[in-house]
Amino acid sequence: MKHNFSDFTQAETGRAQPKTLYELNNMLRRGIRDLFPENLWVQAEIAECKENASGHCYLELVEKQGDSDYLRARAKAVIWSNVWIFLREAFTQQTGSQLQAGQKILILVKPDFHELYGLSLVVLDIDPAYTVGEWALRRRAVLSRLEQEGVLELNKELDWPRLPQRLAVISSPTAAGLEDFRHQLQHNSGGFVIYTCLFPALMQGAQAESSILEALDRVLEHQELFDLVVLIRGGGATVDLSCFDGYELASALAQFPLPLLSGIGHERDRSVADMVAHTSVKTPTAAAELILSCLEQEDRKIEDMAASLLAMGQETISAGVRQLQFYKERIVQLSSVQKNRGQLQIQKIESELRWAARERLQQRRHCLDAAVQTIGLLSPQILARQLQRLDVLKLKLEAYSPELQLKRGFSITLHQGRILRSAEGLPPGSLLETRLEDGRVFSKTIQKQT
Amino acid sequence: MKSPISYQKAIEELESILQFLEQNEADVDQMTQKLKRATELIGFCREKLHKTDLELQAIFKELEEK
Repeated sequence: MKHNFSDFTQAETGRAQPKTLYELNNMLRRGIRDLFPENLWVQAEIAECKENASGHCYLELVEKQGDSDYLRARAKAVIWSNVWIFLREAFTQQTGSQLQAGQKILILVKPDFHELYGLSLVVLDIDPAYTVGEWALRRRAVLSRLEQEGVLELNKELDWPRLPQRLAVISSPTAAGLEDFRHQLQHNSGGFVIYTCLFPALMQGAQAESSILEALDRVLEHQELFDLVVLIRGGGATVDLSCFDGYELASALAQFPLPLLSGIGHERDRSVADMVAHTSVKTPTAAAELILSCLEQEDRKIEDMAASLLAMGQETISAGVRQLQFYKERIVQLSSVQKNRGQLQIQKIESELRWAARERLQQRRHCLDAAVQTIGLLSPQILARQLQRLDVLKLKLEAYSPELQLKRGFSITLHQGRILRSAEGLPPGSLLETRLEDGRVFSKTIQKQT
Repeated sequence: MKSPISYQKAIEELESILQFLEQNEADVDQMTQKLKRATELIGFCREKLHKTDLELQAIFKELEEK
């Protein structure tokens, strides 16, 4: 059977005149407008978020079934550029994040139906506090799951390295924060050697989580080379930390066998990554400062120990020196006692000798005195007797004097000044002197007879 | 020096030397012996902090370039 349009309309006679699509959509438009005389607040999750060239922001909103990915509802939404300018600013400031997929938002909307574009929710306002709260809830859920699994504190339980010198740095290679971090470590005032090895990763956006997980895997391959893993976010205007709140990343970080230092920035709230890391600081600069302070502390400790050892060594030496000094003084003391003893002995002997000498002298003097006295008593008689003897001797001597002999007629002959007693050896012609009583005669020998 | 030795071990040994010397009155011979060892350990620790390990530096560079 063959029908044509007129047949169909004919068959349907009695029903209302059919509407055109436009008429229908127009009715929907009016109906929706009438149904929602006032704007209303709606909770939804962003599935997609795009800003077009004219500055309008187009959102794909969804609602999921519980924790599953099964969708219960979906709707388009738009934020016109004149509104978007202000909302974007306020949202970023208060949440520290840009509007993006995965976020749950609370928006004030006016449902609108357009004949050509269909249903769209025109967004008039966003409540950033809801998103922040939503994050907090999500973070709490991730944390409690990690806790139930017993891994939440694992990284914190690792020993912090005494010398955090060999650093595996996970960061975006183009980040300004990374350069600052490296520069700060390399030009430290303590002259410490620090080695950094960069494992590049995306630090924001939807890909960040998987990118960081990959970097962690690569660090794990060279685990023994490192003391510490440092997670640094590169800075920049946007502070989007939502990628650090995911369960997968948090779980990997918590169970990582090397201690983690996070410097990914948390001006408002700490991310889950911060909470599971061994230690978290706000900025890469703070991370560098912490590492340097650890090294400074060790350096001080070593120098303190060196100083203590030196002091103790010196003390031992001083004690030794004191002991030697003591011995020396003791020896000197003892020897001087000995010396004194000796001196006393000498003095004693001396005085004894002196005494003995004086005694002897005294005795001699007594003897002498006695002798002198005896002599004194005897002398006049002895003297007289001796004088008599001398007189006799004088007479005897005078009888033998040459003068007397000459007077008696004898003469004395001298040859060369000597008395001539023998003719022997006297050559003829010798000059002779003959002494007589009244003068001297000189003659020469002519002949010798014997 | 006994080696290889870790920084941690060096510090522990230094601490025990210090403790020994603080608790016992060491004679000059003991002191000399302990000080000699301590000097070695301190030298080792200072080196760890301040002297560049070129080999490690090269390994890191290579890793980064991979």
